[in-house]
Amino acid sequence: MSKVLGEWMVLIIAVNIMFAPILSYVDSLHREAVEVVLSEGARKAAVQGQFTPEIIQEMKDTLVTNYNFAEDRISIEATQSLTARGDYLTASIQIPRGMIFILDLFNQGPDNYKKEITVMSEYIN
Amino acid sequence: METTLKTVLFILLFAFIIQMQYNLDADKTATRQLKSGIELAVHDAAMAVNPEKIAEGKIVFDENQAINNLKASLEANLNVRSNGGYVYTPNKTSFYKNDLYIVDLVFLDDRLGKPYPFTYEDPTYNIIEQINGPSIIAVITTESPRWFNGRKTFIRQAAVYEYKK
Repeated sequence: MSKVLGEWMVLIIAVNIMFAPILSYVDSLHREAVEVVLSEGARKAAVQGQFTPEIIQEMKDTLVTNYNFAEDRISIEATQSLTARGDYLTASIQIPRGMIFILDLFNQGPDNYKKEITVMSEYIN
Repeated sequence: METTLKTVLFILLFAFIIQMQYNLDADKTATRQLKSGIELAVHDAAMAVNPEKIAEGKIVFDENQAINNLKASLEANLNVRSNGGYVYTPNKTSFYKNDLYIVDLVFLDDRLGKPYPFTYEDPTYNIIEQINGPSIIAVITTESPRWFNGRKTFIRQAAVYEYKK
């Protein structure tokens, strides 16, 4: 009995450990996707002096079509008012995080990942 | 006994893989963030142009303001803080563990009186760049914030922001 119990416990922990590297790699790629999309968006917004609805939609579409995020779970907050040259534009993207451990036994960390960016506007009236 | 040994070996093997992967991941993330951070920072720095010189048709950077902009940008985007704008200390919640240094900051503008384009070379940081207009070049470096102990890795990234003339 104790042997069976021990083997099952080892199996459960072993399965968790086996999947941890690949799942944390996926998590890292999700973060990378958000950072890249956000910094590309910020560069476009700096020229136009605001995060226009088109820029925000484009960031969202990139995350949905290229990186397979669920559209209703991505939240983007950004400066949408026209900002003069020398003032700051800010934006943030929040996405839900996946799991690190395939069996939910250990602390998985926060549920969301949020990245913020600040860039100066180039817009001249 | 045999099962126990196998299990221990198996867990050690995966622990080894995990620590290697996490360290490489920290290197990769830090490289990407430094590149994006320094690009945005030189962009903001290049917004500091002396308005009086613009009236004369020249682009000359206001260096003090440019360093302030560079500092504000890096502080906001990399979650670090600085006094003078050259050495950055990570905040408690920052991804970075060691100080970040701006090791090179060069202003190439109309004060040089050189015709564009010209080639800028800096052998110390292996920079060879064709300059088509007034530019700011910055190089940032830090030790990679690896999760596990191992060989130290230094990350260095450079960025140029240029007004095309």
